[in-house]
Amino acid sequence: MAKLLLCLDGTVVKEFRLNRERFTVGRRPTNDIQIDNLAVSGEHAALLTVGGDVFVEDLDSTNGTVVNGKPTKRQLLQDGDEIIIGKYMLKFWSENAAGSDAGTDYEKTMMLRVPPAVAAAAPAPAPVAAAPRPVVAASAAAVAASAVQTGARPAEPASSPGVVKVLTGGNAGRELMLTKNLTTLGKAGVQVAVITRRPQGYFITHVEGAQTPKVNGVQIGQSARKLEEEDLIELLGVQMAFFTH
Amino acid sequence: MVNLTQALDITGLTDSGQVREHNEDAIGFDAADGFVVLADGMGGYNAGEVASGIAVEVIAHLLREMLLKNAPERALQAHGQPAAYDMLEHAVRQANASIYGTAQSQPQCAGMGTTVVVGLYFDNRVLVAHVGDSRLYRLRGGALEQITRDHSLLQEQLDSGLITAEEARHSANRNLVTRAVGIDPDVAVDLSEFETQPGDLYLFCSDGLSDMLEDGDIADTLNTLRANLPLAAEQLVQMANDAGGRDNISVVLVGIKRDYPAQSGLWSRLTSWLG
Repeated sequence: MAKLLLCLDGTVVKEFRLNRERFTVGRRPTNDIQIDNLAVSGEHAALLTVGGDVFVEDLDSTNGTVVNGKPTKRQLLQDGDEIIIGKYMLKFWSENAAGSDAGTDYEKTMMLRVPPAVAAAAPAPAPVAAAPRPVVAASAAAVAASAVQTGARPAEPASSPGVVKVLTGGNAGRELMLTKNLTTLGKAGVQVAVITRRPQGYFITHVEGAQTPKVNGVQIGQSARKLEEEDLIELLGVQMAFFTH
Repeated sequence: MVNLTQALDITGLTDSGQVREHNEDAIGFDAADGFVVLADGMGGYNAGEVASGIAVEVIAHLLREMLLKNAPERALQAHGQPAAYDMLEHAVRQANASIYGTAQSQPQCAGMGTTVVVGLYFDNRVLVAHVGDSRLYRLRGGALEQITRDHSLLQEQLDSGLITAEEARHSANRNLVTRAVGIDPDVAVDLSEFETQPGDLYLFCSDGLSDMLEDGDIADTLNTLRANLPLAAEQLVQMANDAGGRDNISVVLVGIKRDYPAQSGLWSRLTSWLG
């Protein structure tokens, strides 16, 4: 479950768990988070939980709601977002970052269902804000089998871009920077090879044509070959060298 | 029966990705009959595989059977639409009944379901049936366009303006579908028809591809490698894996090599005598 830390002057005053679909913040005592401060409107803002997402919505407050320094009307919250309301700051942490308290695998495709009674009355799913509380129909088995994902995206490809330098032919001396994920060499319809940029480095693969390119004098065949510093590529009779700067 | 192998180039690849132990996706295609089926199963243990496997088996089997008996372009008296509409809808609903029935009778399969996207190519067009968030894209004139609309919470939020496209990229709800095959006794199937042109390239994929890669990267890859479709499919799967491969990844590519107009009744009877 996502949580909010209510902070004043850099000190955490209280922690709230967003255990309801709609969580309100305001000066009046009817709010889930009551902030007794004149800069805060009676009903200032609401936090709406939709599946695994939480949105903050300003309820036309007098002084507005600011997220990470920008005034907002409605916005999807991400981990560590700071919501400023008057002199107070609400720091947002989603359940995914907080650990695996729910134990639910949120990457796995799941069926979202409206409760049967409502489904009979309104088969078409209504717009989300007005919809009855959606229930994620995860089977017990699915929950038990789930594994926690590490959300880290792998590192970007090597920071020093690769270069192919043409050694022979009309373009001798020309350098081709390999800044894209895919760079093709050769002539369409005759012989084409592609150099792919991957986290592990650069690879050359045959695309079309009867001949496959040579690397250091050896035909590469149909499979991808990793390029090493100063490898010599030969394609359509033109020699090229691979470098990383 | 018409054989479309001269007009269609089809290649497909499915991969369990970097994180999952099982591959719950399933694919099936037949260039001669001109169809593609791709399914992304869900459910505990291996129930997801069971559901997507049943979907592909049932749909491929029924399409083959129906195509033997009937020409997909023939307009039906009941509604004037080509027979293909009834074929696809029938095939998907039968798959639904079969998965639902299995889930009811096998406790370990309770709650299983699957997305499905089916394409049937005939008479210079493609008829698409889909349920859930597996997609069909078309590359035409270098531009990539998604031509199915996901049945997902996120798509509904986008449609009603509750979330921006930029926010959607960070949403934790990318995996929630609002419709699936095999969850209920019956299923609503979306059908849409598109004219095809020689040079078009169609990409069927599961969300394991479309969630991991930007549309721009997919377009670049298809444009660069379209001369070698198996390599293009491999490259897409590899890129999704390099980006984390958090889900199963499936790709089916269909290249349109030339026109394939439906033959007139007399002509098709003549060629079937000769053939």
